Amino acid sequence: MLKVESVSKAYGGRPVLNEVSLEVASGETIALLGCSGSGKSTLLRIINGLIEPDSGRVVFRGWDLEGDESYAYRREMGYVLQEGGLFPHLTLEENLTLLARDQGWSYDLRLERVLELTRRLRLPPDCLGRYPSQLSGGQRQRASIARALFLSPPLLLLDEPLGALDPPVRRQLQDEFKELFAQLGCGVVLVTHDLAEAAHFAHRIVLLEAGRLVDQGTFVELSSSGSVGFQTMLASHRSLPC
Amino acid sequence: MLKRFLLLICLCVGCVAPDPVRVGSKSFTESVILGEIVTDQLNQHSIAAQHRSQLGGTRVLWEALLAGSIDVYPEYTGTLAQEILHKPGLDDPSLRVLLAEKGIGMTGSLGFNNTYALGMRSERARQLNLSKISELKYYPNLRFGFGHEFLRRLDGWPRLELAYGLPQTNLSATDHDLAYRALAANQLDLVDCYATDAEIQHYDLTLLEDDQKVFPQYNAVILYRLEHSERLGKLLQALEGRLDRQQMSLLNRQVRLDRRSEAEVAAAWLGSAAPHSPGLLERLLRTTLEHSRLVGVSLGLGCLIGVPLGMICHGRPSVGRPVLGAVSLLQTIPSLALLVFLLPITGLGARTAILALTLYALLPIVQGTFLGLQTIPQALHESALALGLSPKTRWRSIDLPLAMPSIVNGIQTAAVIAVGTATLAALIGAGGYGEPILSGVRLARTDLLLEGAIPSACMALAVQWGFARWQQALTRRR
Repeated sequence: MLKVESVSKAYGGRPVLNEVSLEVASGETIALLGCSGSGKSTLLRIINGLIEPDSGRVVFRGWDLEGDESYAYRREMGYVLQEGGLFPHLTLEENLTLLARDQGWSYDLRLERVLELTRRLRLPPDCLGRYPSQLSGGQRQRASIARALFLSPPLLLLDEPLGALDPPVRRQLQDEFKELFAQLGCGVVLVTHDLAEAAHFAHRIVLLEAGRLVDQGTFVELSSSGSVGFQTMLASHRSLPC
Repeated sequence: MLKRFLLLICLCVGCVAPDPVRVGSKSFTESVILGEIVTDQLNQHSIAAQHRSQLGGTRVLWEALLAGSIDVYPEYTGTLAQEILHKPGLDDPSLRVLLAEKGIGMTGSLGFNNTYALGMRSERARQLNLSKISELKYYPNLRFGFGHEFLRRLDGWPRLELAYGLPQTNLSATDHDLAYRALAANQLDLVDCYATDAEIQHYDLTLLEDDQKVFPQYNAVILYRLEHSERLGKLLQALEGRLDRQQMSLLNRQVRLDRRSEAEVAAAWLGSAAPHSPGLLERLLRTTLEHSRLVGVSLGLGCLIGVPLGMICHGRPSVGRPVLGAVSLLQTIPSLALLVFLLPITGLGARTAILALTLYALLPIVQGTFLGLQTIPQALHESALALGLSPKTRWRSIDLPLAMPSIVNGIQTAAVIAVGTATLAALIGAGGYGEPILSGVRLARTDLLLEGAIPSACMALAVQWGFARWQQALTRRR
């Protein structure tokens, strides 16, 4: 479904991504694992067209994104930031339906979808009239996922979606989201620096180091025969020494 | 871009073409009275005339007459020769020729010469048997009190001393008003004054005759645009020679010391019906409407221009830097200078004031818009992009609302500045709260000062409060 072909990107002569190639199949969850500065967030932004690569290309469902100035394909990819990126001046409901309104959905259709998503993401309906600052951290991340899922995109891009949460809430959401992704059957690219989180979610882990793809495979594969980087990470357990 | 916008505004505000004859006057009492007399005289003979009183100084009135923003105004021959044509000592016929070249006509003297004069208490003058300046040399011990300007100006005391060979050495430099009081209290024997000062009547002063004609001639005349000479010439000339020095001094006194309105005093002198004089409430209503209009229109225009400019500054830094620099530069021009600078271009009245106020409104609005957009958090900006919102929705639903508090803040600053600065608009005949303030300063009357200052302060507070509420509503739940 998504194909990244030898993508490179440099900022001011300093390479951030170096010849990275990657494929994501429909229904597959992959984790981009690496410490900060490894280029994993940049790769995510290149995938959804926020950043243009210096060389290489991204093909999404047969759609070559190179030089494509339109924003239409971004609607096919749900995108969630660490802090959620909810708009502070809009209520939860307005945040959720923003894109659908832009697309001209009818009120009934929007309402139906809002109710479905709040049920799925276990957001209490009385949250809908609240502003993001009036929600808890966990509710905000649930809402961000709900917003990203609104148009049922075939691909979900998550940039450290749980990074800002307290550990108990984080663990709960990890379980819930994993179940949700399995139900939805959409492709997921998750950026994280947390090995446990990567292991928890991903069918396949892609290890990035200083802009290079150094290794990839399932957690089991990597643990048995993985690169030095992965072994170090495993030894220092859970989090990367970043 | 900016130039084109400015041109557009000039055109917009320039399309109002007033019909009646516009009479101007300077911002001192005598000029205002003469302006009222001229206006009355024309109206009496069924020529619709409008008085734009206390417009400012010589420069403003002269430029306005040349530009055709006013048609008529009272002036003095000495001022014409010295300050306007820069040829001191010109006689009236040569003045008339030079003025005609500029398309300006001049009546003969109205009957008084408002030049420098030396005044003594009448009782003291009789005692010493003094009536001419040349006789002063026989009394070397007299105590003189002169204004700073009179002492310094070449055509003042230095010339007088030389021409008459005056021996007095007991000279004190005094403030004009204080000099009169000191004279009344017999602490001074002689002061300089203007020949038609209201105080001459009040303190019963005798003016000594300038028997060697040393002081320049400041004959009061009326200037008018020559294109109106057929319509107005006869009527204005009918005023020639009818107003002597004592009468003018009396009229000044009636306004300055007896607190009657110029309109009333002028009407009484001309023998026409006393005009309707508006009460406090009516005056307040008028000045409030005028002031609100000045502030409202200029603020509206400021937003229409400033917000898009701020957006451009944000979107294109290469354009933005010079634009921000330009609007900052505008802000540094003193308001009075800007008004006088704009006068020849846009003429007297509300449109010039609105143009100036609009220019002053630009900096806070442009800056507010620019900063508002600049400070939208990167994550939100990215979020809006990544969602795949159309550019229109991104602007309308995300960027604009997020920048709104800062924009409103800029508009608020612009509004408060505008309310204050608009009081200066009265100097160029645009009305508003500045009008009573100007009269108050001119007549040294606190009640008039407050009639402008209090509502102006209230309006500024109300504006501040209103915008603060708006601001609050915008940011309440974030």
